[in-house]
Amino acid sequence: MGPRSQRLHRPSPAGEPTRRDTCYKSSRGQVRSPEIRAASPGLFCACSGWTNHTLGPGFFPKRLSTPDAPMALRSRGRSIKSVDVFLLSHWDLRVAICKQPISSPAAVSGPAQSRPLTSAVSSIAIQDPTRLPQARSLAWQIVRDLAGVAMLAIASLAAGLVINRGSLHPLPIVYQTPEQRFDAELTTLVAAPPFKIAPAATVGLHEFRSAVESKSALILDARPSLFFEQGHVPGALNLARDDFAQDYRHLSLSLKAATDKPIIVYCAGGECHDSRLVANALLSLGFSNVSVFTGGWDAWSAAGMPASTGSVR
Amino acid sequence: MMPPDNSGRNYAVLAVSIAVAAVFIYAGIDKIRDPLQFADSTAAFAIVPAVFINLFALGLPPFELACGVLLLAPPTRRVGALAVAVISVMFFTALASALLRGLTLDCGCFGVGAPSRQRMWLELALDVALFSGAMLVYLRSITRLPAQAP
Repeated sequence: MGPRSQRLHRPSPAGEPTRRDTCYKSSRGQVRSPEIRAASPGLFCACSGWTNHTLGPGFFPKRLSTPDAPMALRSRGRSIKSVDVFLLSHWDLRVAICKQPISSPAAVSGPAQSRPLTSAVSSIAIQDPTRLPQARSLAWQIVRDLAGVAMLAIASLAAGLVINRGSLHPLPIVYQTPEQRFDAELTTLVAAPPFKIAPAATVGLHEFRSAVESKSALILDARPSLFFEQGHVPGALNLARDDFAQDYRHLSLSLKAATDKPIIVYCAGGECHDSRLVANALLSLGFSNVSVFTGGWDAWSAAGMPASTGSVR
Repeated sequence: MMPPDNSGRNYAVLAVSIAVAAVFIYAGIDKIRDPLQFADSTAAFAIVPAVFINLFALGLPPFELACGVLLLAPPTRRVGALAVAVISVMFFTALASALLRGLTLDCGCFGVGAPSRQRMWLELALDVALFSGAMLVYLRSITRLPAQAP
């Protein structure tokens, strides 16, 4: 049976199998006949003699995969066997083709339970064009949804820019690395910073521990204050790289009092380089004996060393 | 004819939608509060050109928030789910790329954290879970499109 010229039977408004109007549907399952387009309600099965067999959503089994696969369908609790279901398009799952014939008109008009499917019937259930969308491909719907996602992204960017404009510390449009921001912070402390300096010396855990225990050095924690408050080396002061200029001003008295003492800076450890940035900044600000504990907080806490918590500035 | 009882499956889809939405709303709000930190986290991946890092850091948090909100509303759930799926693929690609390049960083997905490869693997797995949940919701939604007049 070709996809075109499939005979459809239109149900009467009352749902009785009285008329056998013939119309045609395209290979895509779209009803072409204006009569059928105007036909009313719900989904219906127009399988010759079953024209009043109104079907509801969920008529077909959920897992409908292979076109032309014979499937046992159920309607109103009764089985209709030997019916092929054509997956004409994503939304046309309700299109079915009856293959089994019907014996006689008398059988057609009998009670639904006793209708035998014995004579040749060409076609059947269509979608209700007033309720279902025209046949559209799944790909087209996905493209439309992706367009919606793209519009959402544009709207989100616009919203983000508006929020940023109204915030206390707006981001510049072009990203600045932490080093660039740090240099910008330093320019608020010294007029013309010559930030071309040799890297600070480094110390190991043993040397760092000795300095902490003997209090022979000023220990500075370059991590953000949030991490500092959660745990830091006892006696350390928080000179965060993020808020360097502000913290430096707060600690200026402590720092000036410790000009004769060595300064050791640490950060989280591993690949963090906040301690190096802070150490180099201190060198550029005139402190000469500045070194970095490269193991950082990770090495200190992993070695089971004591820790302090809370804000100390 | 009685329609098939899909209530269990519907509740499951609803539960997945709410769970994914909660994750994205939390992540979005957290990033909106500290866009600078998220910009630094983005820069650490060394994927986005510097010119676009701040735009990305400003646009993504509202996008995540919108995804979560759209997922909660049935009429917009389909687009929200697809957006989550797309963004999860993006996150997965970025994290997998960083792991393959041997980077140890804080992805900035849920606020500030210490750089950790173990955490990166966990977030990679979370991206897979979010993608799966979003696709479940999307496929479920797209196969149950409401009827429209032609």
